[in-house]
Amino acid sequence: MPLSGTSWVRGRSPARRTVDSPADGEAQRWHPAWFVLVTLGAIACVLVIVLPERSVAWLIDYEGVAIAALVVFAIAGLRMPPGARAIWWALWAFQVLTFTGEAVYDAQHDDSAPTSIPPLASALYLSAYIAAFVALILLIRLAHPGRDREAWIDAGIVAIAAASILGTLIVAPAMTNQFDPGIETVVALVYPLLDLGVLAVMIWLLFGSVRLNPVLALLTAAFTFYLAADLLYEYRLVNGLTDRTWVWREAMYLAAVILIVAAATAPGADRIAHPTSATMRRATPIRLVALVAAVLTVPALLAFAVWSGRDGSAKLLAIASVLVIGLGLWRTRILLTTIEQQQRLNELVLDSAGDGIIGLAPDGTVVFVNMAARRILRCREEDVVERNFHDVAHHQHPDGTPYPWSDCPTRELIAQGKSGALTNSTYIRRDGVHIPVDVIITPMLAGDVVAGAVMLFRDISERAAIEEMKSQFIAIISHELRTPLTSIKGSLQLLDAGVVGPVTGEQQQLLTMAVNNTDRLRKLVDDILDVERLDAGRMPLRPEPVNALSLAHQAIEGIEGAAQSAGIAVRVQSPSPESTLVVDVDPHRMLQVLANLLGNAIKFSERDSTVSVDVSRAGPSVTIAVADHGRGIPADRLASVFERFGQVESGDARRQGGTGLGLAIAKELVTRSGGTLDVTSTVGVGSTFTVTLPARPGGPAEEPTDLRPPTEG
Amino acid sequence: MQKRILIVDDDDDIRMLSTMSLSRVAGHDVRAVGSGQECLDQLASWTPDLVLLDVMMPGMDGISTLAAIRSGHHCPDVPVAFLTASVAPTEVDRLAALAVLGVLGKPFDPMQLPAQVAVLAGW
Repeated sequence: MPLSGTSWVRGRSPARRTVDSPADGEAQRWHPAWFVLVTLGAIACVLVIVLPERSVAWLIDYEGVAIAALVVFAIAGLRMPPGARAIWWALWAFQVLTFTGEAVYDAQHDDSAPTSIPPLASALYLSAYIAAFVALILLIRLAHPGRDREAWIDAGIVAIAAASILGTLIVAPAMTNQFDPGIETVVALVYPLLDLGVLAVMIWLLFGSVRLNPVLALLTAAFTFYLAADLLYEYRLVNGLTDRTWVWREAMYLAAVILIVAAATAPGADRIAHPTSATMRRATPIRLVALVAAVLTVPALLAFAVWSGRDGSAKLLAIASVLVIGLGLWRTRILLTTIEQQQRLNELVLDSAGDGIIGLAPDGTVVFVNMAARRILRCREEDVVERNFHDVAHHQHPDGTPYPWSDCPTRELIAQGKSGALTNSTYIRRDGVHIPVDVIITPMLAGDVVAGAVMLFRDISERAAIEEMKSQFIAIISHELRTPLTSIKGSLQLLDAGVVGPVTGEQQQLLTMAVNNTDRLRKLVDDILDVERLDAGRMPLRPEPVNALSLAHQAIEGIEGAAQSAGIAVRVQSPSPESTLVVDVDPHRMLQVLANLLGNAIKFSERDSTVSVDVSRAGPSVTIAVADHGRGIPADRLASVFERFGQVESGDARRQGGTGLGLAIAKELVTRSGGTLDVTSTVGVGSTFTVTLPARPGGPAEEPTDLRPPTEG
Repeated sequence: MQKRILIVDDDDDIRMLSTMSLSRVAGHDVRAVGSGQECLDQLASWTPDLVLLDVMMPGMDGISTLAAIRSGHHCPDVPVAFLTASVAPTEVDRLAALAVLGVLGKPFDPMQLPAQVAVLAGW
């Protein structure tokens, strides 16, 4: 298929061009000169009627404008890309031949024999139609509408309607006259029939486009004028009229010429030959309106003919009516079948989906339920459709307590037209079993109005079971690791304390070492479990308003012993008023973070130095900075301190009694609290770890709750 | 002041350790049993001031033991505290929400345990 005309299109990137895209050609502009020329053409047509017939001005108007139009057409044809060129040259040939035929007719016509047509003119006219059909065949072949039965039926309906209208207005009055048709008249009848054939094909092509194609519309209009002009000629012929109505015919010929040239110069004319796609065959509203109007017109004309006593045309119109209604019914059947097929396809797609899909009305009533949803809920369609979904499958918590619709977040989401996800929700199967589900709710919007919601859900029983197993496994591991640790450490502590007898100096040293190492082991178990919980999302944070300064004081209290034995002073300072230091965090977890930072600061500080804790308000944030005067962290290791087991020097873990997980956990906890944990450091001077937390808007908080962690021994 | 404390734990070592801690360090009257059922049997004849209950035990676990105590005929109102190695925050919250004085974690410092118990029980 030639992809012609690319070079004609400006301002579009080749990547965006697709052959089938209905949007193709949008970038092309209608040139103002086009409108000027078409307007001038319309004026010329009017002048053909108005000017004194066959005067010099009339001749200049008629012949001059027609010749000018054909010259413009030739220029446009020369500029056409190869794909479209042949079509337009054929149409050009059609017009030139018709126009020459007109000239020959005018020159050789014998006014005394009004029905006779000069043979040369006839020859020219007929070859003109051959050119027209060549153009149409090329157009059909290149436009490739495929086996588009619907378009043919539609074209047939519209053509019959058009023929009925024109026939009623022009041919039928002629039929009522006393008239003996001569051979010339019968020959002349060929022209309107040829016009009608071309017009039908044009309408078919026009309907084959998903959108109104202006080029095809102009061509269709042009051939409508040809048909009208030829019918008028026929009418005059059969009535033996010699009055001035012939100028109307000439005006219509000229209009047809100008319309074809207008089509040839319209944007998109160079790509008229682009193939249509399957989606373009869908019934467009304009197409349906045209069809209904066409089907209604013919019986209306029949009624008019019967009413006005024109029996001759009534017979023809009755036949036309039967044809049109028959075709209309056939077309309706095809349309309904297409809709049904589409519907079946939609249902197949929805039923083949692995996830449950349920359509809800704004009040929560089920309007649609797919197969997966029925399978997951073990129900039939009639069990849920037209019932409130919440009442059917969501009315109870797993523990059996009622779950009213007014509490259901789904209700809220539908009311607000918002989308949302419900995790760890449970639905109740028809057999009463609660199943864990993940739900995604998306509003159905009809324009701006919420027409309901689509609920997409998935049975996560298996996943939930695995999670539960994992959780139990961690709990058991934790228990199994702690129980021997408890015995070892407790025994050592009892020995160390001299409860069971006096302990000598060296024994004491060994016991202290053993106790410290069980502490380290316990810390490692705790940290590994924390990491696991954080990874699994099983560490719920319970934020409450707490004062950051009180938090710092409490954290310092907790490490006071360690600080004293390391000979390190811990100083707290806060330049900001205490009431501005309120943050929304989980106090236990934030205490864990601060304890870790302080523990590190003490571990890495020189004896007799100071660790300072600076709590201050900075704009929308509260910062807690823990600064030590230790050895500092080299710049290239700064980023890795927050990584798991990212100790600055290998061997630190052993020497300093850390696990290598503390800072990773601290950073994660701060991040989940909506804050940041950063570090700055200078080697040989010290490091500063800064926790930045969003300050709680509003007034001062109530006294922080008692923060003694339940697990501390 | 001497108190009567019943320790329920399936682990022999922990039983011995907590018994030593509470009896030898703090001088309480301590009895220790190895299962929930033994705990209930003990309560039939001996009313303690506090029951220290382990949670993860084979057979009847701490939670069901607590339920059995509370619905039993013998001293259903006896103060109970959990002494558990489960320290997951969600688990601790779940346990603390039951009809107990509180939750103590393992490992514990046997030198500190009597003081922690006293704080919980309000002695």
